[in-house]
Amino acid sequence: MKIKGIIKKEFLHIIRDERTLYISFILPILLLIIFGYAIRTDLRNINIGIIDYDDKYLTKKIIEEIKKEEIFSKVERTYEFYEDLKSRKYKGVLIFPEGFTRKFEKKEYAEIELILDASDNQMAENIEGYIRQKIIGGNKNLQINILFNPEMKSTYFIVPGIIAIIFMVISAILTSITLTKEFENNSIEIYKVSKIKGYELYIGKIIPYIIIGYIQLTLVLLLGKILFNIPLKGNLFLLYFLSLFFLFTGFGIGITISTIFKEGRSTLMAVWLSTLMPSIFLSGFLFPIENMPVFLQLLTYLVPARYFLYILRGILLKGLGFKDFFPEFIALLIFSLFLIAVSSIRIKKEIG
Amino acid sequence: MIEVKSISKSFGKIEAVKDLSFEIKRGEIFGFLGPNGAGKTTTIKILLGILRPDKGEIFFEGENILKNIEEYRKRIGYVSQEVSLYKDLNIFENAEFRAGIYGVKKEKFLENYKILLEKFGLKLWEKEIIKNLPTGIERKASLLCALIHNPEILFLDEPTSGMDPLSRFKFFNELIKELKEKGKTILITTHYMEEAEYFERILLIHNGEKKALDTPENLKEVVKREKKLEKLPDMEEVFMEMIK
Repeated sequence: MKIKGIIKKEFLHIIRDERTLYISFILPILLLIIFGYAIRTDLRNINIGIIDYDDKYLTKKIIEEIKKEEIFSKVERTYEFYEDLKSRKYKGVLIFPEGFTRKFEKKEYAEIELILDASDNQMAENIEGYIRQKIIGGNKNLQINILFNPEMKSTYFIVPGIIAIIFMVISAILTSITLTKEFENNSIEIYKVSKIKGYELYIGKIIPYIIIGYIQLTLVLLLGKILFNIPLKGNLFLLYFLSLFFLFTGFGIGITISTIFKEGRSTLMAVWLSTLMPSIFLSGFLFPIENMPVFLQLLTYLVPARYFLYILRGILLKGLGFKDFFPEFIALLIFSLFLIAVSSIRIKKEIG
Repeated sequence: MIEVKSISKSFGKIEAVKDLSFEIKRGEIFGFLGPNGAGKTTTIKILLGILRPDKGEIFFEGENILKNIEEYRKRIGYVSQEVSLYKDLNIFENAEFRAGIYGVKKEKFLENYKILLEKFGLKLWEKEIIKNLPTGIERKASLLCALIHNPEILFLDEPTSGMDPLSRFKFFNELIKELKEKGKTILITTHYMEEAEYFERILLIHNGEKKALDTPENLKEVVKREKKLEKLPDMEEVFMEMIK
């Protein structure tokens, strides 16, 4: 009954506060769209030149296949590559040497050449990835298979990251907003003089945001599927279950920070800094962890989003099961238990 | 009913309350008078058990309040100086929330709420969110919320600040009187000396020290006698005399 009372009140706050509604439901969608499309735009409108000295049915077929790839806006025949690349007419030029089809049919070593403008090396890598996949991956005769879309190469990679960031930042912000409101409104005194216990307040405050978290997760997964066709290969129940632990780390950070500052503006600032920055830069969301200097790599072990991101990508993109990311789950479990302990002790201390 | 035994409380170098002792009797309207910063709020917070005194103890029906603070809290109600109602909720929702955290059963709450709403004349305002209420109504609403779990003692910290004279008059002559008739014990702090008339006994406090504790009439008599006045002085004069 006591907890129910708090939950009901929280929902009334949420429904009546435009700010909370905006952060809860509009912000995740905006983030998904902005990040999702921004990354995709980078990979669009790429022009490719093709020099075909062979000019047989096989090269024509390959060119048709490449044209189907939606990141390339122009795939056209050309006769000269150096000036074309220099003038940025094309980002890359693909050359089929004479005898390519013949060699291929004889199962000899059939060579092609791809010349790339690597002034934008990320872009160059991407083009290489796509072309490699089209030519080699599509032809079983060559005995080479690339199973996964090589990482860092599409929105598939970005959307799980957005889910992790949305979860971390928004859960921390929402819980910090609701708690600082109690401090600023002086209503924390009501809890102090009432019979309510710390854990009852803690649970009552958190349940509404667990529900919101799950609505957000569903929303982002659905939109990810509709807008970006994100695969959902693994077990969704597992995903929803493990998300809970990650949510709790966000709640823990939000609650702990608001009991320190007890005031809206500094709390919001501290929450942004301690959730958004690490989740973006140190989780592997934008920059692969393996490429970081050792010091930063060590730092990433302290970022809960790192583990959740691994789990998310594993479940969504690769269909991994629980045993495949057991260590990551343990890390997440330790973080969430630790933060639950810290934040509930702080709440207990506040209301005496 | 409540016995305060030589409590002291300091915040750093400031001694907010110095060796204060007094007793509140069951069913009385006890006034706690003093200028701003006299230590009234600190004392109330100690009485509520949300602030620990550096020295001294408080007994409720002969038992130290810290011994069974939960039971004690169930029996007290509190309205703080700043209104602590949720501004985006209406009176009913605020009251329901309060009842909830006190573990009041739904039927009991609805019954109690109906009576209080009627008594306080708040029916018209019931569905309006607190933000839109005039100050006097808002204060009544916080009193209603503090009474929703049916406490025996009420601690009201400056309940009339910000009210116009007519509202204040009505507040004491209607609401407080009626609560007393219902058998409630009420402690009220105020810095309006003219409100002293409404109290049965008054504790005068200045700089954290007890200056006087008696009925308003007796206090006036004492000052009249000491200063050899023609007629009874008003509370303002009494206070100025006492803090000398």
